[in-house]
Amino acid sequence: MIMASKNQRSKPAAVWHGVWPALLVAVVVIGLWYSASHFWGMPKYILPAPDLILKEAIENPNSLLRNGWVTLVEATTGFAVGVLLAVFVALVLDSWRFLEKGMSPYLVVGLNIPIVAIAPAVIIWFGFGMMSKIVVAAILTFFPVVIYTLKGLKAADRREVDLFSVLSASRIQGLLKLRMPSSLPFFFAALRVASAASVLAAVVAEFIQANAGIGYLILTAAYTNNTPRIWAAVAVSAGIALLFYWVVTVAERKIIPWHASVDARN
Amino acid sequence: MTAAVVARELSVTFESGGGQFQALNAFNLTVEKNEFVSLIGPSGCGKTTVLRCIADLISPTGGSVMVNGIPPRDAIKKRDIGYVFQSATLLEWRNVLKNVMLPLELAGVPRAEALPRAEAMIERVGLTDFVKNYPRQLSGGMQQRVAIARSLVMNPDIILMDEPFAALDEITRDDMNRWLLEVFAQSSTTILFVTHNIREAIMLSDRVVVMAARPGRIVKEFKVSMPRPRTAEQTFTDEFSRIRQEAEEALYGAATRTKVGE
Repeated sequence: MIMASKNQRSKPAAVWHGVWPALLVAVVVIGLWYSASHFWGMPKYILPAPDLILKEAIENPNSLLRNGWVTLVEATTGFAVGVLLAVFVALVLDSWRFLEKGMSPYLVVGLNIPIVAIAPAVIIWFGFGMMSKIVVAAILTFFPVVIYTLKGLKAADRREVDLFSVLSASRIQGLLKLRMPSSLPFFFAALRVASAASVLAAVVAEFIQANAGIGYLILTAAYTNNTPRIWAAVAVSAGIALLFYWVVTVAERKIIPWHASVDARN
Repeated sequence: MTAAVVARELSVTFESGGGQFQALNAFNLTVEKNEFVSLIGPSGCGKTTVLRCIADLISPTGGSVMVNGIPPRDAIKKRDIGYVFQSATLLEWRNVLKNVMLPLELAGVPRAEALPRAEAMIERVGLTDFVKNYPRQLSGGMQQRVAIARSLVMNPDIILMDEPFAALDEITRDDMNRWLLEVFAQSSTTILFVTHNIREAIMLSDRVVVMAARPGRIVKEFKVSMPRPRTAEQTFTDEFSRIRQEAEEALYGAATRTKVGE
């Protein structure tokens, strides 16, 4: 009775109801775009028509797939390494107040490092293969996740802390059963930010120096003024970032279905 | 027989913004085993502070508290004390069953034993149909019932209740009062109940203790000898009206005197 859903529509109808405004926007934008280059004289080298981009993708799928795969692997590996390291560091800093006080200003500095500024140095250290891109992606993932997770570990309600005290909970029980669950919404918010940042990091690092990847593909296409290829590559990188975002969202829905932010989105 | 709670000359002073705030001054109270005692008073009179001292959430600046003849910290370790907060304070990531299981889990009770105990307690608070629900999906009254089930599940000797029904509407509050009377009748616990509702205090208690603020202290005590089980009809008895009137006088008299004294 309390759980009665406000949306009583059948499932496909409900999905369609949620999706059609976005589809309409896509149709209008692509239509305008198509008209601009085919009827209104927009030069191809500035903005090629959507069908030309699609044609490029269909005719030369190999380089898109091969370079897309490289970027995907770099971003995923960097993301995973960054998250694991961040969670470990957050737990260490959380249990050691002195170290946390000493480190937190530098974490904020780290969060604000402009990626292009650090990428050349990382490439000098780790070479221009995939390793340097993984490191850059890991750096960009690490800082938001460590900062938000630390914040989340302190987010338990004052009254909940009292409750655990009255229930005579040990320190480790407090961590496992109160503070870690309370930190999960913060952790997922950070993952959302980091998932987009890791793809960005890999692509930008590839711009600087690389022999494969979406960034590399865009750069070489730009040298030959192959704008359809540039846009096809942009679409692939956006696809990778969206895939990341989707994975994080699904994980969030599975792991913290109780949280208001998840419920609001359903 | 040792009393459930003995507070002697209890004083608590808080530092606040350079000044000092005396939350409690020379507070004396004895609660016997299986007694239901209400503390009633205006906000700032230190009612909650008394409970927090008994539950070892704060240390008194002066005087002492004993729970079953031992210091609060040891009583908490022995899990002799249950606490119901003003808000239900349920963990939002646990469903009703898992919230009620929490104290058992923290005490290391094996799951095979904990599960039937938690389920029995949930049945007692009438929420069997809601075991799988998350707190967000429950009404305020139901949430508070889960919180009470959680405080009862360890079978504590003493339950401290801090205005548990203050956030509920009048009708739900009456319901909860009736229900709490039943629970109290079925168990052998001692309850120390904080409220600012006189009617609620008289209906539930064996003894009503009226407090005043600045500094927090006891101004008057009433024994309620109306027979149990208590019913709503008893609110029309002479005894009820007499205690209510005297308690109001003590309460508002104390409030006015405090103002004049300032």
